[in-house]
Amino acid sequence: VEALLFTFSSVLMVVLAYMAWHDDRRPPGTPPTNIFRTADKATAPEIAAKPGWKRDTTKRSR
Amino acid sequence: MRDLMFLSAWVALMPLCLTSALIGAVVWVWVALLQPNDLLMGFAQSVPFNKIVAIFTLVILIFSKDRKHLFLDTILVSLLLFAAVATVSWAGALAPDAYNDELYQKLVKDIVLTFVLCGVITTRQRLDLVLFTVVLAFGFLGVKEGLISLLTGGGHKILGSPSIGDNNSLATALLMIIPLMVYLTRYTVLTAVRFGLRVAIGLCLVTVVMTFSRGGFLGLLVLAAFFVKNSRNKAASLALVVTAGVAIYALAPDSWFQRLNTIGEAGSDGSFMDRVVAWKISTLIALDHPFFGGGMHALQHPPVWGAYIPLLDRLSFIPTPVPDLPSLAAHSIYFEVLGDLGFTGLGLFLTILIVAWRFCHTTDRLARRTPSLAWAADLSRMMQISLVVYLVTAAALSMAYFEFTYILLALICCCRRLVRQGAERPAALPVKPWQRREPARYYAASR
Repeated sequence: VEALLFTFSSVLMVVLAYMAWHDDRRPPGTPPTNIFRTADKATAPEIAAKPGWKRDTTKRSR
Repeated sequence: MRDLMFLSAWVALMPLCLTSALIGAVVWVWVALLQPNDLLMGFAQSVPFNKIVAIFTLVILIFSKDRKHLFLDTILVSLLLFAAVATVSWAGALAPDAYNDELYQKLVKDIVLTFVLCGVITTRQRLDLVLFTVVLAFGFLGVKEGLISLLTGGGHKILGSPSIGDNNSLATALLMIIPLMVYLTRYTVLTAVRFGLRVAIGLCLVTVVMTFSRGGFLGLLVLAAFFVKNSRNKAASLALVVTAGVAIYALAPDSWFQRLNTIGEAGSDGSFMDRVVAWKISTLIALDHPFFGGGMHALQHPPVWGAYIPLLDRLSFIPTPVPDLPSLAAHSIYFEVLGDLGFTGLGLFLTILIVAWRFCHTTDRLARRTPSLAWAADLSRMMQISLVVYLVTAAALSMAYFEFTYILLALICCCRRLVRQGAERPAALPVKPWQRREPARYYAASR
């Protein structure tokens, strides 16, 4: 189990680093493609459109 | 085989580290937290991964043409002073041995990494990248131990990790990353990644329980209390915490409850009383060397320990038996810093932690005003929980030079800076007619 998870973790780190490197160099205005990308409702329409996304981050500010 | 796999990953990462200081810093965080040398078993065990990536990152950071984003705030200035105090303590250590050198170098590396992170984290994406890296490094340990515990039906004894420490330290480290995982779960776009994070949180909780750490249990209570306090939807958070509590109560083995019952018997617990002796000796060292302490972990040097054992009567207000041990670790971040770096070091250490707490609070308040910074408000609250867990749980552990604490400080500083840059300024009040100033006609006419 340990060897498998260690390998998996190392592979994930490589994927994370490559995607972050690629995203960091993308032209301005291009959306990020990193599978680990984060966003919130105010900036990510694809999350806001999901039915499971219930957090209204703007509620508190109002 | 494991060595080959890791080396392949390392070879794949190196070109990125050579072209980007950000990736170098991220890999540095990963290696510093994971300590792969302790997990490898073959020829790669002796490769100084941490040193290699640190040198690469610093060289790229210094010589690259990218704009440097260096800044100083109260935490970073205090860290510089803390490093200066540590240098004086290290140079005048009571026990100038290799362990003293090793711990000093570790602390300096941690502080350098903090500054490097502050230099490269310039956007939210970069901040989240570091968070993912932290979760990947510690999450691996949490998931591994949790999975093995479940597969063996609780028969697996968790001894800790060479990179973090014993079972108590492992529990603390995992409790510190759980709030960050909760933040990432909320804001990660891909469902599969969110699902993976949720599974990892569950397995980390299993690991914390299965460490049989009493400090870990207290940390779990603190985590639950602050999670409810800091969450927006308190009813849902309370329901989640109660469900998790019921699940732990129903599934935890009897031996875990027996272990927890010994918390109330601290006065007669030999392990606890030994810690009190270590705290007393740390205090005595600090009283003898109030400004710069006795050097890094001087307490653990048997001659120093032996020299102070007869002086325990100077602090006789808490009666303690004389332990039959050659030496002992400080077993408290506060007494550890007090003994190592004196009252000056402790003052700076507490300043850093208190200011970090304050920064989280002010960042949360500031970020709430701007809808697009809601993530920063959430992250600040989660980092505050992580900090509180450290302050409480590590009060009985020697974790003052724990790498993740310094990474967390860097994340707190960067989050605050991002929010201050992006926060909406309050709109200027309309100027009333009588507040309008006439142009300086007199001055213009006189010319």
